[in-house]
Amino acid sequence: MVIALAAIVFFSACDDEDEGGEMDMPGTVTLMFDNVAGDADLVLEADASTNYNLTNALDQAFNVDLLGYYISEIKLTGMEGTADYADEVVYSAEEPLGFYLVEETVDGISGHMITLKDVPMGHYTSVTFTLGVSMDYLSEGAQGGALSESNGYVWSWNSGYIGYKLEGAAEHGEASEHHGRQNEAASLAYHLGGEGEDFSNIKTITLDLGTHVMISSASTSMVTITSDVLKALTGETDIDFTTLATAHAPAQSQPIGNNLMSAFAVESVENDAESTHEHE
Amino acid sequence: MRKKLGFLLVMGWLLMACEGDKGEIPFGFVQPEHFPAATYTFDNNPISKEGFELGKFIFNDPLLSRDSTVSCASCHDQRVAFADPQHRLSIGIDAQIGARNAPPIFNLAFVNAFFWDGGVTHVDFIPLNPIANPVEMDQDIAVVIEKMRASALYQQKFATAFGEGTEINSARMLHALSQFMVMMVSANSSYDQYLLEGAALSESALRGLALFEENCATCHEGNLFTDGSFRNNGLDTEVTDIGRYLITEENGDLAKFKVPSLRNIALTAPYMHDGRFETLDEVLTHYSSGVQQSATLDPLLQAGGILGIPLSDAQQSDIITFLETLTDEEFVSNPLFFAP
Repeated sequence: MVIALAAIVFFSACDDEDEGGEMDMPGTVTLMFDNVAGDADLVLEADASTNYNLTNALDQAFNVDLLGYYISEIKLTGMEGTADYADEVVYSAEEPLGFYLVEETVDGISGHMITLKDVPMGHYTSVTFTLGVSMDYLSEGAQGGALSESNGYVWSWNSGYIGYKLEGAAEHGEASEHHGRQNEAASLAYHLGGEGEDFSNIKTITLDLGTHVMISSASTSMVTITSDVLKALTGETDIDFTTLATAHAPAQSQPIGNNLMSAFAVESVENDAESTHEHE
Repeated sequence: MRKKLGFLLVMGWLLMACEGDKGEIPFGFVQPEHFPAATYTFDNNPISKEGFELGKFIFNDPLLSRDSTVSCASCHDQRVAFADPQHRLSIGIDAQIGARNAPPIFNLAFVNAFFWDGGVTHVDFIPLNPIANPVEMDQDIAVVIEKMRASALYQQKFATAFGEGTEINSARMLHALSQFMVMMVSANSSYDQYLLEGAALSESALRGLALFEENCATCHEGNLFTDGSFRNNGLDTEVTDIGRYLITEENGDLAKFKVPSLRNIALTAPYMHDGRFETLDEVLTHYSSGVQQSATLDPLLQAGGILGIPLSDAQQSDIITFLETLTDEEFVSNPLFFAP
């Protein structure tokens, strides 16, 4: 089935190239999202683990058992003669296009390889994406595939997609009347999404590609993008687990949303030109 | 006059449809001509008889709840315009009590704010709320889909509704429920018949209508009988339920709730977000003499420094007589919506 689809895409790609022939075969860009904690790879713990392997900017120990986020509306900015590329966005109850859910737990990561097909030949200098799902698509009602309500990223009480979900535990949690003291572990749950009068937790992030993505005929490029959980918890605001262990409402989670603007980075660009048709 | 003409045209179209096709009226959503245009996204979810029937089946199926004890119909009864006939606050799973009065269900296709706080903005997403709520059905939507996929009956029903080979997913499940719910149009009360066909209303109801237009219709506006806004109608001096604030996180929205439609209001007791008033008499008494001052009290309920809307007993009685003309007997007895 996948092969058949790939073949269809391949043939339709050829059909689009009436003018330039095979010399102008579009290429493929794969965005690989890699979750990190500072300089190290992110090591996730099982749910309810009491091993606190990470430390935030306030020196508070914690762990992560789930990290998930939507990447959508991906664009590549072209240089000089190269037109900008925009990944196709289609909402549908069957299989929407252009929305990608990256999710990692102790069992592994899924959805982190995003393939942009039919990227025209040329040089691309930056990548832009939406972290989350624009409210525009919400107003179209229930969706399937990556946007499926059963994926656990659609709020029930307040219509909206959770764009970024970070869950885990902190060794020293939020002081509460229930616990009465601060030396108990606390669940961490940050569910970001939604908009307010003058802010939005649905972020548009643009990353410079450093080494440009260069698509030559039918070539393949790989861009590795890191998502740093430590940066989500620091930067504009240091998130203090003793005062903000959970955030669900849009206004409340705004500080994390603002931190997230700096939490993604391009780690590497490989223009390996691993093409199926070599034409010198 | 224009309204009557439009009605005759619609009637003519219906008659032609009847003649043309073995007396069958084509199944689908009909826009009442005296209502605002429907805003539901029909293009993304075209109504079919099969989709509607699947939605009705799901609506009545307790499979939606964690222990298969609670269905939508448990708290939404057609005989009272799909409100809860028995409970001030509805009873959910494990006999837990809900936080707010279960709203009636009708005319959803014309609005984009649902529940008392307006948090949900599309019909498709309405069921997510009661399914997930720990005091209502307490079930992960993903589990609902697993249960349906494991059911030969549901496989067959989804294939009939959406085509052979359709994968059962949450979008299709929600679409089916939406098809059932947006078809719940209530537009044929005695008042509508008066408005569109010139049917008679009693003297008391006509006096009530005039009083209503003068005193109530700013908020309970138009033929949906709501302006869709969120207001504090003076129930308490202190905040007992944050209301719209939950959604907007704006202090100015504390203790504000959606202005409800008044259609079928005589059937949907008790009243207010917490069901505190058992009768329309109590409601009118509240507006006339019971309004409480608070930080977010609606300006219209303290105009000229006077709290509430002073009305004599006779005036209150006439308004209630008018409100009773908003009951749509055809809607609440329509076999189309009967449980399968």
